[in-house]
Amino acid sequence: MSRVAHGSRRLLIGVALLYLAVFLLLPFAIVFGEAFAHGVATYVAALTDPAARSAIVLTLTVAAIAVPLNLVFGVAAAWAIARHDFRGKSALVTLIDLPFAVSPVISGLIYVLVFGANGWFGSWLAEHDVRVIFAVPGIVLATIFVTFPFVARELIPLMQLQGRDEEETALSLGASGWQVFRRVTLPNIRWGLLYGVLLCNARAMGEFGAVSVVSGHVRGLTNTMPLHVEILYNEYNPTAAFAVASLLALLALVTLAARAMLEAREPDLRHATRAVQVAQATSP
Amino acid sequence: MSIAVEGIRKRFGDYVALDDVAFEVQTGQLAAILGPSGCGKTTLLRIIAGLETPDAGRVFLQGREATELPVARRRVGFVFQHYALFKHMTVFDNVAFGLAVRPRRDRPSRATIRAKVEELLALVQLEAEAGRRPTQLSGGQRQRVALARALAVEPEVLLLDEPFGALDTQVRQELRRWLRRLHDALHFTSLFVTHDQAEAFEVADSVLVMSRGRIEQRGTPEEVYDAPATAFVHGFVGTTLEVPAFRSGGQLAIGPLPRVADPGPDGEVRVVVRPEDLVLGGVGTGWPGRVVRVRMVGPLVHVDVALDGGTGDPLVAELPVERYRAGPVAAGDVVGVRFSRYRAYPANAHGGGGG
Repeated sequence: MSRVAHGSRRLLIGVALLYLAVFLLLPFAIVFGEAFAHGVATYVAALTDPAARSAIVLTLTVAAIAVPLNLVFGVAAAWAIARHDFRGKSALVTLIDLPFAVSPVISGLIYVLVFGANGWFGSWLAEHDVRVIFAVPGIVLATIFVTFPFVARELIPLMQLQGRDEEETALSLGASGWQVFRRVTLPNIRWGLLYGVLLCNARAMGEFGAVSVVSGHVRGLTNTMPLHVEILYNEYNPTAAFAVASLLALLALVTLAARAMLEAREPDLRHATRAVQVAQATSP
Repeated sequence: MSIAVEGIRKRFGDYVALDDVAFEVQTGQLAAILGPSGCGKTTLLRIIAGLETPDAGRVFLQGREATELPVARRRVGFVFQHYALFKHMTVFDNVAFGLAVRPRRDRPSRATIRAKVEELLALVQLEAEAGRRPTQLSGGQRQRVALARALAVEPEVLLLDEPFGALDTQVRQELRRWLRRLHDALHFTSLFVTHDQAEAFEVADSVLVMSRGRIEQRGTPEEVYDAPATAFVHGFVGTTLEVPAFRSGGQLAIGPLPRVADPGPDGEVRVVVRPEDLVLGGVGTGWPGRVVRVRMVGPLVHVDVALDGGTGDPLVAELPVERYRAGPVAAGDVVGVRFSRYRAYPANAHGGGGG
């Protein structure tokens, strides 16, 4: 390789690394730096504050409901799309991407419109004394909506790549539909599924926009971690805000590390992930 | 009759994959469906297995109608071109799969399953690989595992989709001879799909030649090679040389050769010849031509001859070395060409392709 080409390659790598440092590593460092700016005791206090604890519990509760539901939905949708041909298949694929295409704030507003006091079902819900908006059910619904593409999006290309041969073989050997799923399909997609669940979980815990619209920000009741971070920051309490934010940042790091590990294990997953990225990059 | 289909039709959108297909395979036979890619042979096999539903027609297995029967209840073993081994299971668990998924009351005991799997692994000569994963095996070994796995459930018929298609030439040769011996030892009924005529001829008792969703001919390998029913079959099962010819008044004229009686309508005729049926003699013994090139290809000598008034490329005659040595020719010689055997087909029929 010529000296010039060698030099320009170095330059490109340098630019990429600098970009990464400024836009990704620096914010990360600041989050942790600010969180511990006043020592470990302040950090722990910020996390054990009743309002913070309530936000953490609520976030975990919401994720514990939204993630399993989207897991089941995602597997079912991916199975249907990758294994069967049916009328309206492409419409379903487009619908799955809808939450990616719509701003989360709009997603939240849709729920307010449907379930809010002046919404379609508002008066019916009020009569039956059910609160959806500005209460936990609304937060769960908004989170489910925003996070439902993750599992399906991860599995569809993986299952399409793997093809039907193994499942058809299992059928010809006398296996029932459930046996085929449990003994053949599931083991083949397990790492992709795990990664989809991790992504889904990261987003479920980190979602801000949609949840902010439906939450009502009732401290100690309807504040999730991201909302709590915002409130603390607006109350000029940056150390506490960064302490709670550091938990979310940690979650992101764990998700990325898990992804790297899973991709090292499963070459199929790497191909499928690349296929997803290409599809996302080229879709209009 | 082990396998029989009648009136099978299948379309994918506007594409007609199968157009009124009917045939049967006798119990204990090893039959091949031979055809170029896209001729519908794999679709037909998948319909017999129940992996695809026909638009019309019926499938019979062991004399019983199976058209509506789900795959799991057809008792067919299906072997895929790319083996379709369960990647996350050991070789042992792959072979045991069909027995392990049976409902509890029909399921053999663990010891019985173990004995059966070990017996099958011995049959396919893979006892030592029982604990390995499919990714640790060679292509030929994988296909043998796939075969053992299919045989474990004691299928009434075995269906194989291009079973040797993904293997190296040498492994393919070995494996197909091995399959034939296995078949002779166990006497199951099998049907396999291939696009390779040598494979079909070497392995199968009977061959079905398909083209464009229809069956062109069925018969023993000899019948199909020696008496192809159509110009397509002639071209697909062996090397085919075509010479211009026409018929008038019940007489066939092939170039300047003496006319021969050949009843049929007047007009152009496709006359096709196999390279081994070309006879080269002295000037005046046949169609005059000039030798363009001579070369030894293993046990055969290939002689390229440009016929006088012939169109297109020279014909390539293939002679056994001894026959060539009895009357050697060299480039530039003028010879007379006769055909010890030829076949004539209507000129309008479709054909060509393959070979």
